[in-house]
Amino acid sequence: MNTIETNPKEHGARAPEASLKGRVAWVTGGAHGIGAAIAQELRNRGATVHVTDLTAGGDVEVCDMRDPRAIAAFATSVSARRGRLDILVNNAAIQRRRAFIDFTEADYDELFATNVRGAFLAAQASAREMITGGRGGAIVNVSSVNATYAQPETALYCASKGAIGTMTRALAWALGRYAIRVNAVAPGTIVTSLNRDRLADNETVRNVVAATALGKLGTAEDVAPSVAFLASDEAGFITGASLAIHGGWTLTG
Amino acid sequence: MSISKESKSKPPGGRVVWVTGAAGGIGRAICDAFVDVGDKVVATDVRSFASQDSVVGLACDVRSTASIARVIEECNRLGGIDVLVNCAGIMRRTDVLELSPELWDEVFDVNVKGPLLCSQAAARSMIDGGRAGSIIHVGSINAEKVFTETVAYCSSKGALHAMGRSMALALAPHGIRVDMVAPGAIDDTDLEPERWGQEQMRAEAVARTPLRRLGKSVDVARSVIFLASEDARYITGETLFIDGGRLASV
Repeated sequence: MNTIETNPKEHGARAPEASLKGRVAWVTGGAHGIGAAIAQELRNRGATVHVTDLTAGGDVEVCDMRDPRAIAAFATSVSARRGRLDILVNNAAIQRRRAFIDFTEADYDELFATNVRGAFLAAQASAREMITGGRGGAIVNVSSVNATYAQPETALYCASKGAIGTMTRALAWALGRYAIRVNAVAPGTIVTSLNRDRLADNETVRNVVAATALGKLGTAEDVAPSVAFLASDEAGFITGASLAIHGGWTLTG
Repeated sequence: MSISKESKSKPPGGRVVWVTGAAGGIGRAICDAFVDVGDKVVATDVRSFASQDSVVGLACDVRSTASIARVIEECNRLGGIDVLVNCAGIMRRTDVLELSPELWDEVFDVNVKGPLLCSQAAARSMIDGGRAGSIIHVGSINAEKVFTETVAYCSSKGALHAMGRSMALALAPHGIRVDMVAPGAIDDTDLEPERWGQEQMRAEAVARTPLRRLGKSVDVARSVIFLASEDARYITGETLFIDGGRLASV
């Protein structure tokens, strides 16, 4: 069996600020919001970060997560340019809001193509590069509190995040022997530039805040350090885990 | 005194940290990790415990409020407790039909009541001192994946996880976060060294672990450092499994 053992002593008590020095990462859906904060956090800790999104701009390259060939090509290209790929952050996802009865087949196909199939293909393509590299690796999937707790009008999104949660555990088993760790973060309601207006003065949001132990919505910057932690050797014995980042929302009945 | 929701806990280097069960493998690793980032550590154990460089060692029985009060006094002398790590725990192995009320109580007194009493004392001190803080319980994979001969231990860890979630709700208004780390098979703990010394036991544990190895105490310590830090500022009532993927597998 092709087993790779990472040595916990090797990275000792290295400061978190440098915990990803020399690592090469790919963050999908990283042009805005949580993805952008994750990319910045990984850079802050020393990683070289490739960011993709639907449209290019600045440091952001194009990769449409609905396009299997584009996904495979991007993983190969990062590996070719940098000589390695150590970290994948599957962050790209879309949301669709409708009454359950009104969802269309096209809604379903589009949402699952991005949120689930795209994440699966990116994990597979990245794992191939990590296995070839022989240094192990880390995959962090951005799931959601909605993987466990459902809400009306987002049935497809909830289902897609449930799939991501289960896929995370399956990939942890499948890739563990290559020292590739696969984990998820499950954020609660996070305020970003994309949803700030929608979340402003909204009764649903007020109810969420009231039900959140820490008494506030999260920010993208609240999520990013957990992703960096799970991507680093600090989390060397953690795989198949889901880390909820929701300020204590959903704890009570 | 209530703490503003915007209050921040102290950064590493200036904190006073109390670790119970500090003479065991995981406890020692947790103490070392906080010392490494520059914090002042009060390390306690029911076994006699010597102070070393930058660690104040004290004997403390977590079942005794008087014993706990002495530790809080020592923390106050250092500036007041900012982080509590409830690491003290015991395992007793017996057939469920032979499990006596006395043995059940022994396990629950150390594994559940102890963390309650220590957390109450620490939280009172944090609230009185106006300090945002963090409490971390060392739970176990055995709260979820259970074995037949450790009914009391498994039950106690399930209770500890649920108690931690309740505490998270109760203490959030005071700026105190409460989280759990749940180790899987760790090969340098002092919980059952004679057991982990057996090659067959180790091989079986490795076979059911996706990462195909046992963990180290330092792996647990690093997660404790993360959860106690500002990096985890929006995380409370959560359990982080450090189990090489064991929970994810059948």
